[in-house]
Amino acid sequence: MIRRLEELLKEAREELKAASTPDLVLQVKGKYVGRKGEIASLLKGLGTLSPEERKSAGEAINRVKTGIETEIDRLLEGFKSGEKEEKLKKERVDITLPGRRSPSGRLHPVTQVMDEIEDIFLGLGFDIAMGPEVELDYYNFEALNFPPDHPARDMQDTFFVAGDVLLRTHTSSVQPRVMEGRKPPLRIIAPGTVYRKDSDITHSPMFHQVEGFMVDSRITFSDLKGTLAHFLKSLFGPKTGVRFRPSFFPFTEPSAEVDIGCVICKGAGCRVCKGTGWLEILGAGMIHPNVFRAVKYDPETVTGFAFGLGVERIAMLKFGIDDLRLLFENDLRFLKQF
Amino acid sequence: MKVSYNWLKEFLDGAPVPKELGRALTMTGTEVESLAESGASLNNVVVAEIISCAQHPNADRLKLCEVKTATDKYSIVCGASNMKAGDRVALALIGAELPGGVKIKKSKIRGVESQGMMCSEVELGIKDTSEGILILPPAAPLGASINDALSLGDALMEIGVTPNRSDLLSIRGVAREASAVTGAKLKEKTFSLEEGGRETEEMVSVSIEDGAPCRRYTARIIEGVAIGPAPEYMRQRLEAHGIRSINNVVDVTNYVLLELGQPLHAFDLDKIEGRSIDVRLSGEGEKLETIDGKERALDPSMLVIADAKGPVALAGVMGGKYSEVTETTKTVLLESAWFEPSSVRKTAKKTGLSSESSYRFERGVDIDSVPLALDYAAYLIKELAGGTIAKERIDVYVNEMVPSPINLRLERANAIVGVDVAQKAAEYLSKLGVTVKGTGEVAIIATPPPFRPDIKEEIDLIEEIARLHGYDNIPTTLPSAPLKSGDAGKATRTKRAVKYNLSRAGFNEVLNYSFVSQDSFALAGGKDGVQLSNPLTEEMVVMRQSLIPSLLDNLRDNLLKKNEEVRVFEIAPVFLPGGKLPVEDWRVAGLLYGLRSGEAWNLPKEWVDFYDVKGVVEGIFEGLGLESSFEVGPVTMEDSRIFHPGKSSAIMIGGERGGVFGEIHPELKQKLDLKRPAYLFDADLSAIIDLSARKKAYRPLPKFPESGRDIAFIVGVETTYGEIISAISSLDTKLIERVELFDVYYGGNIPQGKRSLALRIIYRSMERTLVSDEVEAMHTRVRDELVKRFGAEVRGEQ
Repeated sequence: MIRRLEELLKEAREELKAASTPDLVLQVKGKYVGRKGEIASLLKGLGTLSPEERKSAGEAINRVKTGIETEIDRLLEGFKSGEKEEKLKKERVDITLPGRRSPSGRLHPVTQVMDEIEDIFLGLGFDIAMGPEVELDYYNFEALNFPPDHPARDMQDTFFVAGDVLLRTHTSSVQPRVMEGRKPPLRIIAPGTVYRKDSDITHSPMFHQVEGFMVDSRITFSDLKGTLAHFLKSLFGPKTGVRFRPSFFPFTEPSAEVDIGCVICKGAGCRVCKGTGWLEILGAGMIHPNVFRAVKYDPETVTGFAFGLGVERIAMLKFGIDDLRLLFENDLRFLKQF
Repeated sequence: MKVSYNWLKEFLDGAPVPKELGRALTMTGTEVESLAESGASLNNVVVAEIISCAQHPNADRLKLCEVKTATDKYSIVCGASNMKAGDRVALALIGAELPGGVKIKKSKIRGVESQGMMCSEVELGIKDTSEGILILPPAAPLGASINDALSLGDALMEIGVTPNRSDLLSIRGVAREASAVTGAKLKEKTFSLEEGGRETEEMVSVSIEDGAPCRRYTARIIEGVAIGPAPEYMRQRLEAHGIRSINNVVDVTNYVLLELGQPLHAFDLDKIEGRSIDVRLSGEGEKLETIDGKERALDPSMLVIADAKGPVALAGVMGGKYSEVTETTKTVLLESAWFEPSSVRKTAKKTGLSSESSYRFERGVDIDSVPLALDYAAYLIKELAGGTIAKERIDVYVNEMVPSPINLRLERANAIVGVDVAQKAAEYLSKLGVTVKGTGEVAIIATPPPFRPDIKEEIDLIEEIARLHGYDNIPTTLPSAPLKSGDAGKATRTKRAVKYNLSRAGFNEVLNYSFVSQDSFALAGGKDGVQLSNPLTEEMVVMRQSLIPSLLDNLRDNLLKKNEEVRVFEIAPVFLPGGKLPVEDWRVAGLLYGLRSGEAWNLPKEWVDFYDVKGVVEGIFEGLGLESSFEVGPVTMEDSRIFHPGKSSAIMIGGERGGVFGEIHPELKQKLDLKRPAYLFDADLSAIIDLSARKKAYRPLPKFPESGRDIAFIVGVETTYGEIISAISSLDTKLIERVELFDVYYGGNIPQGKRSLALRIIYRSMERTLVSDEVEAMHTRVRDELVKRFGAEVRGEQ
C-alpha cells in the first residue's frame, strides 16, 4: 500500500510536469485527487485494514494528497499570472513619443538676469527703487556732477525731447531722486531701461541697467570692493576673478572700472576679451561730494559707494549670445532657448 | 588717443617694455585699449619700386625683376607672383639680416644673379602668415628705411582718455603719467630758439577784448619761410596718429599739438588785414569761410580771432580759409592760446565742427605751456622751412591763473579709501607733479600742477592717492550695517508675479523699443506723444502710448520666420501726456495666435478664441489674489481701432476702466494679412499694483453633503450668462453653493436668435444634510425665476 502511494506520487508529479496547459493540469487533478480519482479509491480500501494500520495509512494517503494538490495549485497559479502579464504587455505604449504638454513660455533672458541680480542685492538688504525713463536733465546730469557744457556729457549720447527733458542715459538718475526723498542710511538698487543714441552690433539705443548705491556714515572704497566682489562671485561663480582699475565718472570719486576674468577663455585671452583675459563688467566708485551737496546731504558726515552695470552685456556673457541685436528681435526661436 | 611708444621714449629714461607699460598705465586708470607692436627694426631693408617683372630664363616658377631705390637699381630673383611693375616693395639689400636669421648675400639662383630679396610680411617678422611679398602704399618714399615706412621697432598704443584727464592728450602728458606710475625718469626736450630781424610787436598787434573767453594769447612771426613737404619722420608720425600731412608749417603745428597737447594755428600774415589780431566775440551777422571750404554764419556767442576786416578764425575750433598757410606763404603768424573750455565746446557744438584743437581746448590745456609750445613750433618751423623768427614773442595774459592750494586731511583720505594711505600720500602726490607743503600729522597742503585742472578739491587728491596706491592694494571688506532684508517693493513684486503667471500660461516675454514710428503710434490712437528731437531713425520717433502695435509687429515678424504658434507678452511703461514729464503708466499686454495647445501630435487641433484670452486676463487677476477686482465692461469706439467691437471687452479694474481684451478687428487682421484672428489683451498694471490683494484666510470645509441638480433651458441670445448668474444669486437663499455651466449650444433644433444653456446647481447647507424635498423646492424657485425673468424655455431638469 505504501509502495502504491509512492508510485502514485511519482506518476502524478511526472504527469503534472508534462501538463503544458491549465486544462491538462485539471485532467491530472481529476485523475489523482478528484472525487473518483486514484487517491479516493485508495481511501475506500482503508476499511479492510486494522484500526492501527488504518490510522497510519490514512495519514500517509492524506500527506500524498496534500502534496499533489499543492503542486496543482502552484501550477494553476503560475498559468494565471502568466496570462495577466501577457495581457498587460499587449497594452504597452511607446514611451519615446513626446509627452502631452500645455504650452509653456519663457521670460526674456534680460529679465532672467535682472531678477538674478536683484535677488542677490535683496539678499544683502538693498531695496529696489524706480525712476522715470523720460527724465529731467537735472537728475540725469546736473545733480550727478555733470556741469552744463562739460565734455563728460559726451560719454553718453543722449536722446533729447525738448528743453531740459531727455531720455535717461543711465539709471544713475534714480540716485539723486531717492536721496532727495530719504535720509541715510540707504541701500538701494535701481533696475531699469535706459536710452543712448547709438546702434550697432555692440550698442542698442535702448538697454537695461542696474544702478546700486549705499550711503552711511562710514562707507569706504574697500567696502565697495568687497560688496562688488561678493556680487560678481554670486553671479558668475565663486572662482571668478575680479579686478578694479581706476577710471572716471563725474558722479563718483575715486572711480573704478571692474573687470572679471574672461568667462569664455578663463583668462587665457580670446576674441571676446580682446586677448586681455579680462572683461569690463561694471563701473563704480565712491559717491562724489557734489552729488551729496546737490541732495542736501553733508559729505562730511556721510560717505557712500555707487555702481552701475549693463544687464544685456551680462546676459550675453552668461548665455554665450554673440549678437546684441538678438535680444530685441523677439524671435520665438531665440526666446524659447532660455 | 594713439601713442607711439618710440615717440614716448623720447621723453622717458628707463621706460618699461610696451606690454608692461601698458599694464601699468591701465592699472592706474589710463586704459590702454589696444597695443599693436610692429616687428623689430631692421638694417639694410629699404623701400624700392619694381621697374619690370619678367620670367626667369631658367625656371618656370621664378620671376626676374628690375627694381630701383632713390639712387640705385637692382636685379632680383623672386619666387612670388603677386607683384607688378610700379609696385613699391620692401627690399632687403646685401648684408641685411632678417628676423628668421636669414642673411642676404649676393647669390646666383638658377644661373641668374640676385642682388637682394623682396620680402613678405613673414620674412619681415611682422606677421605669422602672408601671401606673396608685401606691397607697400604708393606713397612710401623710395630708398627710405623700412623701419620708418612700417614704424618697425615701435608699438602703437590706443589710450582711452577719460574727459577729466586733458593732460593725457599729448605724448609728453602720457610720458609724464608713465613716469609717475612706473618710476621711469621724465626728460624734457631742449631746443635753442634763434631770434632775429624785427620785433614781433612791430609787425602785428594783439588784443583780447574785455570779457572775451580767452585768458592768454601768444604769437610769433617767422619771416621768409619756404613752404614744402615736411620730413618723412614727421609725416609718418602724424599719419600714425591719424592726422593728414599738409605742408611743413601746418604739419609742425599738428606735430606740436600731438607732442605737447597745445593746439596751435598758423596764419599767413600777409592775409591779415591791418596786421592786427583781435580776440573777441563775433558780431551779429558776421561770416567766416573755414578751412574746410564751408561758409559759417557766426553769432555773438562765438569767440573769433579777427583782423581789421573781420573774423579770420573760429577760436580754438578751426581757422579761416583765406588766411591759411599755402605754398605762396612767406610770413607765418603763429598762434598759441588758451580759450575758455565751455566757450570752445559751445561753438564746436553749434557749428558741428569737432577738431583735434577743439577736443583739447574743451577739456582744458595747460596754460603755463602756451608759450613753450609757441617757441617749440617756431623753432621747428625755422628748422624745416627756414626763415627768421622775429624777436620777442607777444604774450597777452589776462587774469593770470594760479592753482589754488588744497587742504588734504589725511584721516579723511583713510576714511574714504578704507586703508591707511596717510603715510604715503605726500609721496604719491609729488610723483604726479603736485606741490606738497606742510606735511603734518593731520593734514597736508597740496597745490596741483597747472596741467591738472581736474584736481580742484580734496576728493580729487584722494582719488590720485588711491590710484597710485593701487586698487589691488586696497583690502576687500564688507560694509557693516544692521541686518535687514531688502524690500523689492510692491511694483516689482507684482510685475514679477504677472510675468511668472503669464509664462506658465505659455506666453514668451518680449522686449520692444519704447520709441516707435509715427504710424505705429497712430495705430493705437496715440495723442500728444513725447517726440524725440534727435531720433535715430524714423522707426523711433515717439514714445509709445500702447504696447499693442509692438506686439503686432512681433506677430508678423514671427510668422515670417514660420513661428506659427505665437504667445507673447510685454510689461513696460507707456508715456502719456502729463506735466513737464509724461505720466509713465505701466501696462501688461499680450497676444495669442494659433493653436490652443500648440502643435502637439496627441491633442485636438483647436484654434484659440475669445474665451482663451479672457481666461488669461482672469488668470492674471486670480494669480494676484485680485479676482474680485476684475469685471468685464463695454468697449468704446476708441477700442475698435484695434479690436472687433462685438468680440472684445473692457477690463474693469476695481470698477474703473483699465484695459481691453478680445479679438483683433477684422479689417486690421486683413491689413496685417493674418490667416486667423489674433487675440490681444492690454491692462493697466499700475492700477493693478495699487490694489490690495485678498487676504488669504481659511474657510471651514463643508461637513454635510452637496446635492447637485441640472437644468437646461433656451433663452434669447441677448440674455447674457452674467445676467442669469446674478438672477440666480439674487434669490433669497443660502442654500445655493455654486453654479457650474456645462454646455452652451446654438443651432440644430434651437431657434434662430436663441441659445441653450445647461447649468448644474449645487445645493448645500453648512448646518445639516438637505432633504430631497428642500432641494426640489429650491430648484423649482430657480426654474421659475429663469422663466419669469428671461422667458426661459426649460428643456430638461434632473
